[in-house]
Amino acid sequence: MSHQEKTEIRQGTLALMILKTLETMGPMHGYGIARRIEQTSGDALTVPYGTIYPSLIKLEQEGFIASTWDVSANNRKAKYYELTRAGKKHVHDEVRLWEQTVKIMARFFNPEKEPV
Amino acid sequence: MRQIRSLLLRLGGLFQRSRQEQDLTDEFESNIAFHVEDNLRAGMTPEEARRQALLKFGNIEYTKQECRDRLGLPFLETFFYDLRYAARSLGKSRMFTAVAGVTLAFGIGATTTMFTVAQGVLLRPLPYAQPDRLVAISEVDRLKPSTGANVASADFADWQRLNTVFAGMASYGGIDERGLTSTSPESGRRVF
Repeated sequence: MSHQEKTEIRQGTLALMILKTLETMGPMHGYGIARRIEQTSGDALTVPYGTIYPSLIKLEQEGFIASTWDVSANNRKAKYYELTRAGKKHVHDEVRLWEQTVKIMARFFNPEKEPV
Repeated sequence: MRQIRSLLLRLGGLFQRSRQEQDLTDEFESNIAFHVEDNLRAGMTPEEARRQALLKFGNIEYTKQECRDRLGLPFLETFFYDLRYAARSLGKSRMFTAVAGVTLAFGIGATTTMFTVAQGVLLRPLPYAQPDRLVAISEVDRLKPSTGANVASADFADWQRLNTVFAGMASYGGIDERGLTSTSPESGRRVF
């Protein structure tokens, strides 16, 4: 927004960010996840916090995360999300896929480094 | 598999609208409340804390709509709305509905009748084994070739006696009709 280098979240990357955040942090509520994604990106991403909710619903429907209403440390009701077993496996697969994609794209960006 | 699971949940979601709605409202409110608390702790005034939290959340109604679309099946819901609208419109103009209904009933009735006849006469095979080997033999009046002539039963008896080409012969028609299974009908007016 105010900073030039801030960028919007790319299509299809938010779901993996959410899953990876839950994997690292354990059960979290929506606000916590959004906040954490922003921090992890080094504030390079602008995420209106609302945007993660449709993604959370989709991930839950797909069975990768599960949600329960619980009470937070400061006694506030919140919906907590956590990875399911299928979710853990999915994160693993998706991360591998992303790393592969990044490697392939890197070759296109730096073709001179390619061994002949 | 995941898609099927998702689809079933969304289908089920159509019947839990009010609970989902409450859930979304509660969840968004709790999100904003958490943010307000954080902002207060960071030293903002209560008004500023709330304003910033709302700003950061984005358009609440738009987000809710996105969630609703994801929770249910929008196209199915639209379809049901359309159906309800159609039913209500039909109920409002009774005369039109009656005329349309009667027209449809006649149309369907007539088509069904015609097809039943066409199927019986043209499409259904004859109820005999090897219907493609059946032939009809009749006498023709040379002076009036367009009209079929009757066959005398004595002639038929001769044909049957002298027959070398057909596997069997039977006669039908006339007042005293004989079954086609009969091998020696005596008084048919036409023959196979």
